[in-house]
Amino acid sequence: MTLSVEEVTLVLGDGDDEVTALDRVSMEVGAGELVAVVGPSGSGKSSLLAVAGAMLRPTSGRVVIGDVDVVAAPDKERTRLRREHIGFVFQGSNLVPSLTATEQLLLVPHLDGIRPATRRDRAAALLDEVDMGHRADRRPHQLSGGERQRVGIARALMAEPAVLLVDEPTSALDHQRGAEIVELLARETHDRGVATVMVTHDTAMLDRVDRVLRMEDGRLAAPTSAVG
Amino acid sequence: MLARGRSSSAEGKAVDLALFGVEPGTFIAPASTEGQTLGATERGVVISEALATKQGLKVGDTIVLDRVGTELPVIGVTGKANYGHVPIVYAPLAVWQEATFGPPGGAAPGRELSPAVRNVATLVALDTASGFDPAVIDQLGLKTVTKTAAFDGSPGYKEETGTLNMIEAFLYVIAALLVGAFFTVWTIQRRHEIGLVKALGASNRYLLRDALGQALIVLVAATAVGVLVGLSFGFVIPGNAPFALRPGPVLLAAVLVVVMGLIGASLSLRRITKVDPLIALGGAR
Repeated sequence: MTLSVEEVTLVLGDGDDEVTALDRVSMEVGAGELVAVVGPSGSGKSSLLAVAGAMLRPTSGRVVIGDVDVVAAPDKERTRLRREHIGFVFQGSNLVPSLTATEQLLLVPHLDGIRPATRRDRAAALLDEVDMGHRADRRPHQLSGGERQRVGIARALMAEPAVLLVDEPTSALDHQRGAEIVELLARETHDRGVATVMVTHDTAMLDRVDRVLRMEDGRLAAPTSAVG
Repeated sequence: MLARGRSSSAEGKAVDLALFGVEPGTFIAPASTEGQTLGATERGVVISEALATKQGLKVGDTIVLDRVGTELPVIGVTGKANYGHVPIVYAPLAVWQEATFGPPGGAAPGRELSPAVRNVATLVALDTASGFDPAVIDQLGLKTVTKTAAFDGSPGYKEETGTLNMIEAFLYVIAALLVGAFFTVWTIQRRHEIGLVKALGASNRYLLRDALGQALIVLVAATAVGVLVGLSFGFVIPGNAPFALRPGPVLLAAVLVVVMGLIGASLSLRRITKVDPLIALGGAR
């Protein structure tokens, strides 16, 4: 499925405090494509993720996943879309502190009312895929930053999403660990045919991505380079 | 009647007592736990347990009522029986009539008491079957009340139970507020986690059920501990305190505490629905 963002404008605040976080932003990410959005902090990258991820309704414009208009859907439907079609990888991984790696993954079907025990095999396979099989029963505080990020990626893939939205995945990692994480994201994106958007300010991480978009002051610049 | 009596035994100790006249053999006559039952002798009385255990009266003693001079031979002991916190002495109706309305010291030798004295009673206890119509009695110029109303009518009873009931009711309300405050703090503390799970697609229904479920587990466990602590304190309370442990009220109180706790916990639910999943973005952790 394709993720398309069409002419999205997002105005935050009101009156004198009005800020245009996104200014007529359009982009299209195909299935199996890893697109990086780079730009300085405050340029609107996170807002773009929030809008694409059905967490924030834009002031105008459309976000379409497959053939579903994410913006027009009512709140309940948007919650369901997040659960079933959108995978998030958060900055600093953002795992639930009290759960083991396996449980982080099993939380996803549980949110859907599915008995977690029936998804144990899938969780184990995904943890193996991200090289975390040997750490399956560790809790977040027992894992390194890179390991947490791997668990976060496995969790995002748990529901077999059509769209993967990744927020600064390398911010807490050294260069080598960061490169490994981007490599993992590229592999999963291509193998699974997911439409992936990775937001980052780390321009050293772009050699494995399919396309780079540059964001500045809420505007998305035309692609400046096509890598890979 | 409330009176002060003196035991005939060596100590001659003065005791406060409430003298009840009862027709021996009727349903309100006390059952003796020790000695003979009321009516076994013409003038014998049955005393409540407290007079035996605390005042040292025993079967075979004679209580002499102060000023009135009526002699009451003790023939039996019954269970706990108090009237306005004063232990009851059950006498045959005729003895009570004589002590209450007769001349001090009883009838003069060789003379009977006036028949008018023999017709006096404070109240008549009715053992009614279902379908009984009190109006039938009221037509005779009497007034019937329920047992509860009769208890309420006795001195201090309503005020005392009213105060205790009010304390109890306030405790339930306080329990709800306390639990509410606890779960509100808990919700605030895990706000970030709630935002994260919402971002992953948790519905409000899922989160509310989860929160109430956890509240229920904590409440049931804590109430069970509370009941055990309460019971163990209850068992060491001295025997003369007006205190009893019965499964019914204990269970009811436990259920009420859990229900009130859930009501309190639900005060924090609005905070859960208001958490914005957006806080999961931006790496606040």
